[in-house]
Amino acid sequence: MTALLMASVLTSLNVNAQTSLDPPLESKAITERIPLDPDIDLWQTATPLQVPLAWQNTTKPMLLGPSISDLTLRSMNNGTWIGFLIEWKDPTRDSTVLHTEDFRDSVAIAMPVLDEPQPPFLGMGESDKPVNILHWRSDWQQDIDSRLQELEDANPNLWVSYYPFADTASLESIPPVANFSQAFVTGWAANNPLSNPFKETPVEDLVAEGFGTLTTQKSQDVIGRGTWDEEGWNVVIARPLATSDPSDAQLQPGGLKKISFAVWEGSANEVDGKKSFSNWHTLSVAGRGAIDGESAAQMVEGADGVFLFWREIVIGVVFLFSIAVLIIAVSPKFYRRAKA
Amino acid sequence: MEIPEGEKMTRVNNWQLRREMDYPYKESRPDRQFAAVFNINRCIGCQTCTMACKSTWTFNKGQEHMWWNNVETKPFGGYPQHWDVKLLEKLGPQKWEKGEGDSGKTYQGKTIFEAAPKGEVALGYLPEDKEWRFPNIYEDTSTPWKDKATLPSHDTFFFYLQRICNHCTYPACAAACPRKAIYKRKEDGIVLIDQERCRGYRKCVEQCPYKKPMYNPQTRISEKCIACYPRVEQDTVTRCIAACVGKIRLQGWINLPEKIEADNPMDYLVHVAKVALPSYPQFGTEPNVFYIPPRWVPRGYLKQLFGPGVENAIERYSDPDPDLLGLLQLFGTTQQIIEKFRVTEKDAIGYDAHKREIIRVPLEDPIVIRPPIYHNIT
Ligand code: SF4
Ligand code: SF4
Repeated sequence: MTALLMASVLTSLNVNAQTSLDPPLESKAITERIPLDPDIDLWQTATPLQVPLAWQNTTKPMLLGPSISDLTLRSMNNGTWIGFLIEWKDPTRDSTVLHTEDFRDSVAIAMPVLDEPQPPFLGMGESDKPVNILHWRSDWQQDIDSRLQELEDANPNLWVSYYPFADTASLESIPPVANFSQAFVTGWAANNPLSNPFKETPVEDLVAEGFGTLTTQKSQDVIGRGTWDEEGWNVVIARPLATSDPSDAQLQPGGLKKISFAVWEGSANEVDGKKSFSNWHTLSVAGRGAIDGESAAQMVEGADGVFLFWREIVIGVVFLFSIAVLIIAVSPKFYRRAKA
Repeated sequence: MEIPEGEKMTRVNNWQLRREMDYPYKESRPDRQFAAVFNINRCIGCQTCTMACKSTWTFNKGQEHMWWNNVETKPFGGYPQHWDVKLLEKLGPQKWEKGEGDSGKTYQGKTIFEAAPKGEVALGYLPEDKEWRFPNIYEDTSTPWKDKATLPSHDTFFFYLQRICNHCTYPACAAACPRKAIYKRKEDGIVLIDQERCRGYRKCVEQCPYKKPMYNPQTRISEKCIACYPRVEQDTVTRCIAACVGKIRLQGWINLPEKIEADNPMDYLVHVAKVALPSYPQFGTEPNVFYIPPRWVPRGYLKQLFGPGVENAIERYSDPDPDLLGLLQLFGTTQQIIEKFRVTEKDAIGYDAHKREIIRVPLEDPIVIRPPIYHNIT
């Protein structure tokens, strides 16, 4: 069955069957931080690889004809982190999903979790052969770049006089969803990452073992940033080469990994299996890149303020709080009060 | 080499079509199936059901446009606008078997699964936001005035159609969801969207023929009528059914026609008396909300909406036997789910699952003549 599906995918790819001879995607070794900003010149020093895309017509919903035809890929690593720059032509920017008829532009990377000679089935992996998926979404990017997109952004004349269970400081405006009791914002209450109003990264870290099995990972280890110019999208996706998460694909300097890509065109209502995707390509992670004496969190340029620093912030706050308690405890005033 | 056409369909039995049909999953009926009968003849269009649902489940930000229960004025009203005619038009004219008698005919046309376009699970369309804006558009708007009526129906007509999710036996919403985020509960047949798994692909919104899953733009995922499952788990009827002022609704559990229990109110109304009919059975999802069709509406229109059993249903309803008359008295009388009923000379009695009497109503209300002292009190 899998072999049959695989064969069909390959036929539908309309690409040269001798894909193993395709040039690999070279992840260039650098000694700088991985730039999170796609516009930084350093990216241009990495060799681009243009990969052709096919339309997914193995499982429903299908894409029945050509859409986005190819992606231009670049990769760099510094021995600790790896980054990918993915660029494609898209004259329409679809980064809002506030109407029933709105669909987002997005792009994803898939890599097998296990290192086996035969990569898993290209369509979302197969059981016991999971794929790690890193999915960047344009609407999440817009949320992060400005603020969470709210209903009233798409419906400026919206007026609701009363919401129960909402912190309505003023009747003059519709409160942001974060002011509502989480229990009644069902997707958020169910911990659905799409519904969480507090987005930390535009990229989601997922794992799948076949069609319909895509699952958010417990440990989110990916960051990214995407920008749109009139011509299309430029998206950086970055993560540590190695993580301690067993659902992640593990990479190492000097190593090889199978990698594939998928992209969705929002204005064509592309979603889920209705997508353009690439065959498996080989990612070749060049060695020698390294920065001495810097912590992993500093391996990415421009990642300040994203989730990587949360732990540091928490530790810092706890530390300052302990100091404050100590100071109060040893102050003579405190003792005088306590005695009285 | 030929490219396979995606996953293959299986053949399942749809009793409402009296034939097997295509569906992406195997037939797997729940232990018992949530069902309801709505008597259109009694509805006054007050929307109390609509508000009961709204104030219970959809009062939050992102749900402003959602009416899991809605009452629309047929033939022109629809929420979303023209949901049924749009799909009927896509499906094109389809036929039921010809022959004597109205009930028991086989559907010869295509269901939405059988008419699925390439690359999709079912035939459907995605309504845009603007189509959900006016839940009560064309309220009380009738067809053009004709100064004559050919009884028993009227050429100038309108009626109210009360709509919730049908908790279908073959849900198109679940079939369409590529993530399998929609599931039908084994214990009661209620169809739910898993709010954690849903990714907002809107395939359910597109392919539910009744347009009952709705997109929440604030959470960016979809939601739908949950058949008030926390209440049903406690043998209590849903909010929309409990709140109905016109007492048009009765909730229960329905069996297959070959497993009829004649003292089960749903089985009696649907399978024995055949007064209650599914809406648009030709779509093929085997919906589990049934309607007693309105007596004054031209039969052609009703047949398009409720299938070939219309004449028979109206005939039985217009001249009910004592059991049917008694059962009709039990509509809207208790918040508990009536699992069994019995009609005596004087009373209609409803029982719970343990055969305990939960409600008793007289077939005829006693005549009480007030003493003169009360005459001035209105
Ligand atoms: S009515 Fe629509 S939403 Fe409800 S179960 Fe049927 S297909 Fe699903
Ligand atoms: S059954 Fe419950 S959730 Fe569904 S429409 Fe009625 S009140 Fe709303």
